[in-house]
Amino acid sequence: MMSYHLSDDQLIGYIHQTLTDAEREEIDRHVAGCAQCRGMLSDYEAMQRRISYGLSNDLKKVHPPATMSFAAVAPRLRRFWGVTALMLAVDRPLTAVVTLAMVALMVIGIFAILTRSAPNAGSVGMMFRANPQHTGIYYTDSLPQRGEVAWSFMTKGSIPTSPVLADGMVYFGSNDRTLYALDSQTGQTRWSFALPEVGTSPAVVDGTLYIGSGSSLVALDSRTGQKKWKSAAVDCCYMDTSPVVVDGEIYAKSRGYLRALDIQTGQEKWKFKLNTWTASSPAVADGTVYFGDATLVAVDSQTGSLKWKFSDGGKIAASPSIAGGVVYVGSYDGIFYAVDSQTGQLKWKFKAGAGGFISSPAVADGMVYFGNGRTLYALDSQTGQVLWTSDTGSLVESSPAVAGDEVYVGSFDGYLYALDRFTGQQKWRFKTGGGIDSSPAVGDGLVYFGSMDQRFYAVR
Amino acid sequence: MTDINALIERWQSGDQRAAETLYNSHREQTFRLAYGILGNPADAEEAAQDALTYALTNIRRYDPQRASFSTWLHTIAVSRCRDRLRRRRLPQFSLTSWLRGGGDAPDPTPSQEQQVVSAETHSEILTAVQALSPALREAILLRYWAGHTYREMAEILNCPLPTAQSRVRLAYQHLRAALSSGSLADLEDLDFEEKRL
Repeated sequence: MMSYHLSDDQLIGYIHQTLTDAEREEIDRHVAGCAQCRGMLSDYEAMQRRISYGLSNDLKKVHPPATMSFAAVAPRLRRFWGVTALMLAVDRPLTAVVTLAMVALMVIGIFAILTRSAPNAGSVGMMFRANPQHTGIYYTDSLPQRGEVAWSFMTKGSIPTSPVLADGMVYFGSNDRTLYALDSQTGQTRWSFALPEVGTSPAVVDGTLYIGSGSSLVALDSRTGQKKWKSAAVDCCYMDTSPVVVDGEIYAKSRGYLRALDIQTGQEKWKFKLNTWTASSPAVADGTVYFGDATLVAVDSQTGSLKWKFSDGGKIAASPSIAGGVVYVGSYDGIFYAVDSQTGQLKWKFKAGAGGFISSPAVADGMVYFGNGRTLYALDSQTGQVLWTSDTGSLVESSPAVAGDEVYVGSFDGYLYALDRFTGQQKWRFKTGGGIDSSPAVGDGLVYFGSMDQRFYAVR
Repeated sequence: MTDINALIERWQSGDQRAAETLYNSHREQTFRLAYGILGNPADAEEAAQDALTYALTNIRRYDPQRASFSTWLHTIAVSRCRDRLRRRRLPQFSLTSWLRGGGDAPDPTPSQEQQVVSAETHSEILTAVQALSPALREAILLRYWAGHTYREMAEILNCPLPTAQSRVRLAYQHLRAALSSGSLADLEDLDFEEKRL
């Protein structure tokens, strides 16, 4: 006689192979001795087969119309391929210059055609930690593999801030009180803009760059650096945290308030009073703004009303990341928390033990990465179990960036580290002349970051 | 079975016939995935055609070390379908009523589309899948129909691995509820031999 029966969740998890080995074995043992659950399980499996075969049969009866043919796309392919074929045909040096000039013109023309017809080109916003949820995931076709400098750029101040990549440009602030916009491939200056302070990362969305400086937030044309608007001055200061832009609104923290501003005008929509001041930047997911204050706080993004406050943990200086309905953040009490994004209930916690958290987590494919003390940690995002750790020579206050199968992070020992994100094995490291506080950004085969040696680096 | 990677290499080095073979060998599959997500042949055709064109013109971006060609192509196709769902302005056209031969579908060329799916096609499963939210629909199609692993799904859907898993479980739960309440076709009635992914 069995004392319990399998739940719907257990049965569904079992047939979809999403359980742990231990959970699976428990079910196997139970089913062996319980005829009722054996029946349920085979019933669930039958439904699974029915959906699978039914879908296959139904879609087999669906055929593309005759208008969908190779002939219809061939002209576009030929136009595209003509150019590439010409490039391959260049074998004589005398004609090469002329040919390459022609190729360049054609490439520009075709690029214009392709980008015009690509609906989402340029519409993706870029900001601190890569996206409004601050997951720190960068999508790129190739990864920096050699750990050698592609270009570097000297400023007149240390660079503790984190770069943002958008539309072929890289943007970052230096302690020389300048915001720089460089060509991301060559490092050439496109424009620069003097500000009272540059302590954070800008957000770039649809051709506009937003950055907090002093007591105001400014909006610049991201291509030219022309000022679009400047918000009304507030208490102090917008410069300590990075703004996040979602659905026509900017969320930014000053010392006293979290504010929502209109993206077009900089007009304030609502404000939410803070209990303390910390450098935690707000993150946004599913209509909620999450940020660190005296504790972790969730506020409705439309109205600015409080959704919940996390009851555990200390002051929070790191920025939260949200993925799969869970908010991840490290606290000043040295503990890393995973909290349900809807309810604010603790899911799991992990004591890192080497002081308060500054580094913000990256979350990808069921793994969460963060720095604490001298160590980079990789945890299972579901359970909080340590998957691997990797030590550096000094403090890791930089927030890790994930791209492909790698994770990148800076350390105060002056190195930028590239690790295999599944094993923690070092792929390469790159030495700068100062500590790296800056969180790296990754794109087009390069990793970008600033160093305390006053130089900005693009490493391939 | 043609070696996909050999075709890709040939197209990468300029052989147009390889592009044609690649296109034709993925035409139906891409259209069916788009149809499953969008539920309408006109939208499916546009999304699938866009996806194939993008894949062929950007073939140099494809890295066989990172993902299979199908995974890459499905990533592009899902993204194109999402674009269409986001921008869909025409009144929603109900696949359910159309499949059952009722209602006035706002379709300019019904006779042409009749050829795509015969009117008597009764697809209880596809109808139930259409009733799911787009995120769950993508998940069930990629897992059950296309046979992707959860890791591939996370890549295609641009979401964490556990999210891909939970979407599949949730989709199953919804489908189970929907299909159990209706008239249950006996399992024996389904053509098991026809299952091929």
